[in-house]
Amino acid sequence: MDVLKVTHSGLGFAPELAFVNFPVTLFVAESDLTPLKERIEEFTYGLTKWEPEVTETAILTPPKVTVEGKDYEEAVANMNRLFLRNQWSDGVPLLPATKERVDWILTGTDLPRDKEIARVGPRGGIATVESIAVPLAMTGGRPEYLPVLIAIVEGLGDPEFKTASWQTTSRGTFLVAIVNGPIGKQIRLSKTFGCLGPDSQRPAGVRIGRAVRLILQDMGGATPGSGTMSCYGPNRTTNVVISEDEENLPAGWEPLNTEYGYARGTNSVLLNVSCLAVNMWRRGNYIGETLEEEQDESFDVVAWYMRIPPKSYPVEGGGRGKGSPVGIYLINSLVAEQMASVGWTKESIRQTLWERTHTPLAEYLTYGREVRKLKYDNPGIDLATLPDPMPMYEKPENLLIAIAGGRHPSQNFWLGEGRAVCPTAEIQLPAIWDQLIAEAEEDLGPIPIDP
Amino acid sequence: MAKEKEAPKELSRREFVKGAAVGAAAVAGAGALASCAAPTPEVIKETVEVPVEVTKIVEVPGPPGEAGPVTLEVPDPSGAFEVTELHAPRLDTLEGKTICMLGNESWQQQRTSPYIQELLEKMYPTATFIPYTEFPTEINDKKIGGIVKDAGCDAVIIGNAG
Repeated sequence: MDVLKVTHSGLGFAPELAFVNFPVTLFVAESDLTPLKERIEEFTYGLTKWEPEVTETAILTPPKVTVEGKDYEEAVANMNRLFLRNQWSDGVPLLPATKERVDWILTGTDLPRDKEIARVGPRGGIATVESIAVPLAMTGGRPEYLPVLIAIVEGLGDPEFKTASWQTTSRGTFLVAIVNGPIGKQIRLSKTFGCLGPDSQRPAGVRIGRAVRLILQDMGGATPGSGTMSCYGPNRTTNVVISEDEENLPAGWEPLNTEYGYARGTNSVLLNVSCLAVNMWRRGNYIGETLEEEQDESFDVVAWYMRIPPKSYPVEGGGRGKGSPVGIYLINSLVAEQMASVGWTKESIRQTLWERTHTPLAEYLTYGREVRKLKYDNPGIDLATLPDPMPMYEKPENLLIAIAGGRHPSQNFWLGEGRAVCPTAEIQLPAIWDQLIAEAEEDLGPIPIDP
Repeated sequence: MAKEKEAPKELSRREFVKGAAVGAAAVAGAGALASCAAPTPEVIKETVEVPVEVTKIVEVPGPPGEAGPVTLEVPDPSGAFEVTELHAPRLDTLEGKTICMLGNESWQQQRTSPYIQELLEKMYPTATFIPYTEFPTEINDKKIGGIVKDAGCDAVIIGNAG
């Protein structure tokens, strides 16, 4: 029941509350409710006798942690053991966030180190510039990654993003961060082949993404099985932190962030949440079709992957909630060029996929669980009056499109079941930015050429 | 200091050149021996360029070299947290009080809440209970506090979290 304590603390309470805990088997259909009767006195206790330990409002700041070892190697090993026991780790060894390392990371911003950026739900942990630099130091990050991470945390704190909600859900949610602007290339964020996986030439995404994971867990309180009910955990431990392939956008196709009011070339990050990561084998084997036919027919394949029944009716927003996007469709720049060459635009793709994900009403009515909820939400509804075919999401605009992935005609990617609105944040660079990038080139070599 | 990577086992340039010289000497030797038994062959000198791969071991600065005990001081990554709300004082008794049942209609609440209410009604016959159906289901909305207060609730029982 740490989920309750963590969520409670997100409301400003100390992580303690009067509750009566039952096995989950009590909360399923046709369960035996006898335990409620056997423990009814505990309800009375909670309302009349229970006393909290914290009786004053205050900011509670934990002390620093000291770890010793006979040498450096042993000290680091002991630190990692401690972090595992305290549930501060993600299970993979961490570097010590020494003062020297954190100070180095902090050269990546001109913001004061004690500036509060956000409070991370559900726990409500206070994310300052300095406390954000700490997990980046632990994951082996570099100063030039910090501006992106700060912008991501700013988005986490957006109340409309409901971080506390998607963190604690039983679903396997993970954060998706799409970076626009020249910063992506400068800090070696991946955008082509292997962009969703590990890449030693482009380590920024994994290190930033892992730092996000630690922030969500440590400051946000989302520890598996106690701080969050996610049955299978976040689908991606390092989340998704990638750059859009702006350099290779087809003529007339604008970067994703321009749809949110940013001028082209602005460094910004857009956040979404997903729990569905699907590689779509859209096309690629030439079997005699024209380029036009290939592109058009590929959307039939893509639509199949996207066809998930809506959770609410009237259909509002994406498949899983009011106002939410249905997901992010990643198209690699080669496929985008092919699509554009035969007249496709982002708008026409959205329209086509919205239409092709419509499902015949007779088929939709076989989705028992969704239909039951539809009738529960709309008492007395005549199912025969539902649209035929039935839309799977509210409108074409609920589909986000970003250009990323290896330049190959066969694959696209679907980051589905977007859950919330998409906060965006401009990425602020320090005055010494050029120096940081130059130092990165000294340490890591020239910026790799994308294949 | 840590090495960036272990050098693969391979021929060093010195060893390669030495080997080549031995080969060359063997060829020259064979030519010299051959000259005893046969007319001296024409020696054609030809310069051949052979690319030689050189492995460079790059030493990367690691942590400070510490031969003795080491103490690391690192931040608690959970960071600071602010308590802005305190729990309401407990009631002295439920007799004569108004108890409100709240919930988001999830996880069998349509069964558990009425049953809890029924059990408490028997224990506290002078208490008044307002069922969860009389309140909004968006219980994480800040407005719920005012709604509960306006309804005259002295205490709330919220469920169900799964």
